[in-house]
Amino acid sequence: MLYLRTKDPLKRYRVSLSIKKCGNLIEKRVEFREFLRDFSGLLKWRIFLSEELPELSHRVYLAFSGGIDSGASLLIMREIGAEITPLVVVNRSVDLDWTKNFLSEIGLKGKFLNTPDLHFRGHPCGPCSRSVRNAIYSFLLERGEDCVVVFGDCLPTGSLSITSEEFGIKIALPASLSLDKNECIALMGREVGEYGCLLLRKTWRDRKDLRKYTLSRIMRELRNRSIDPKTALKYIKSLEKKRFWEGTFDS
Amino acid sequence: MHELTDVLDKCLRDVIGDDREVPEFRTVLDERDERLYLIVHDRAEKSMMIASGLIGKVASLLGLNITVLALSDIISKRMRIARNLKYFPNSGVFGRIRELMISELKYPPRKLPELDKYGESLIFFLESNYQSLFSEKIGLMPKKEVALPTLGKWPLCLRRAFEIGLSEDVDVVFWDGPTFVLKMEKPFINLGRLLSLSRREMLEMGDVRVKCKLPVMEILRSVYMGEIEPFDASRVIYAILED
Repeated sequence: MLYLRTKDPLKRYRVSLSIKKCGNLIEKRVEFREFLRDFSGLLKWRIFLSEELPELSHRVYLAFSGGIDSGASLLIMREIGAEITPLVVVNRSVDLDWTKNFLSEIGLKGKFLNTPDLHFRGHPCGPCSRSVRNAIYSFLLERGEDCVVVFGDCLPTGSLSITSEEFGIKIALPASLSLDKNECIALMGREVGEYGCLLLRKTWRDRKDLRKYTLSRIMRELRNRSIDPKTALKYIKSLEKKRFWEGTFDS
Repeated sequence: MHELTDVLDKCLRDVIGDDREVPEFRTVLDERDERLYLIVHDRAEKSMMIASGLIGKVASLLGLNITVLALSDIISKRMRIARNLKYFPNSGVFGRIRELMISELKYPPRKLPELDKYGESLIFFLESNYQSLFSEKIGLMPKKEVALPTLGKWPLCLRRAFEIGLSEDVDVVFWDGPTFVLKMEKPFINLGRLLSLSRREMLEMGDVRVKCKLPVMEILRSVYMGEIEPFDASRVIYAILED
């Protein structure tokens, strides 16, 4: 975990925005005061070398897709002592066997939420993320208790990384800590692999007209500095594996 | 200015709704260019502002061009410029470029210096001859403008530009190559990179435009540096893949 501390000015600025947001929410959502204070401690630990890694012995739900970002979020929350309930929304984008194996390896039992099959005409990412969010939100609202849910989003950095919702608090952990993909990959002990989920890769193969939007997703991560140009190139290459393209890339 | 901020804040509240938070922002008005800058904290908030659809509505109501900027981008830009200032002593051609860098540190709004004629420059441009505008403003009159794509494919065109630049009798060469090469008989400087300009700004400021194809890695680097916006880049890369 120690290598997650950062001196990068841009990351420090973004994390400081998250800390400020935590401070604002402490006043609005009094019931989460203790959690938000401890969570601020984690954010401060990331950017101030004098801070010590806090204990965060609270109960949290974690939206787990089996990907790098949600996996890294899970490992961070486990490291700081949170009591985690992983929520896995079962749909075509999730590699269910891999997800079950991963959870059993780290000794956690996931809650699997079924959703109606995804129907989409355009790019699958929008409908998929909406369906995941709806499934998790309705599960949490049905339980009727105030709770914290952690997501693995990298892009909504700064003040949008921690939001107040009807059921409680939603945290996009990698975004709030301004983690980049390389840091998440290192946490997971993996190497840069293929981009996206099963569904996204299938869409890339089958629907040429939608490739522009998949590329746009990679570019947004690159522009936000969640990934570096080399990783972006690897991701594009992983989607487009034809030997024919290699000359185009390697100039 | 406070009144304008309050009006915009109210408009945003109407569009976004009461249950969601309006991102904090401050405004800078550029009266010369009739442009209003809305500065938010981060890129995520910038996307939220643009996606709300409000910006276009307010722009047409006020009769102003509105540019939304993220403070995180401005900080990165200033850091890059400040880091390079030490390479530019306060005299001669370098002193003039230093003036340009210092004026860009105060962006937004953009107020370019107006300096007396000092010498001549040679311009090699990729897509737009925006460097001519900057060169004139600091008293380095463009002697010749050459489109890099006419010299060959990337990056061979840069080598050719280098040879031509060294043979011409000018004080400085502005090009779209590496940020700067200073330890030569004359400096080669990429003003776009030096001042952290975006591709859209470059295209707006130039009066000649050329279509060119860059390698994918070069486009990715430009996106990372904040020169090309994600959707523009994805269209360019898509065209390369489909070509």
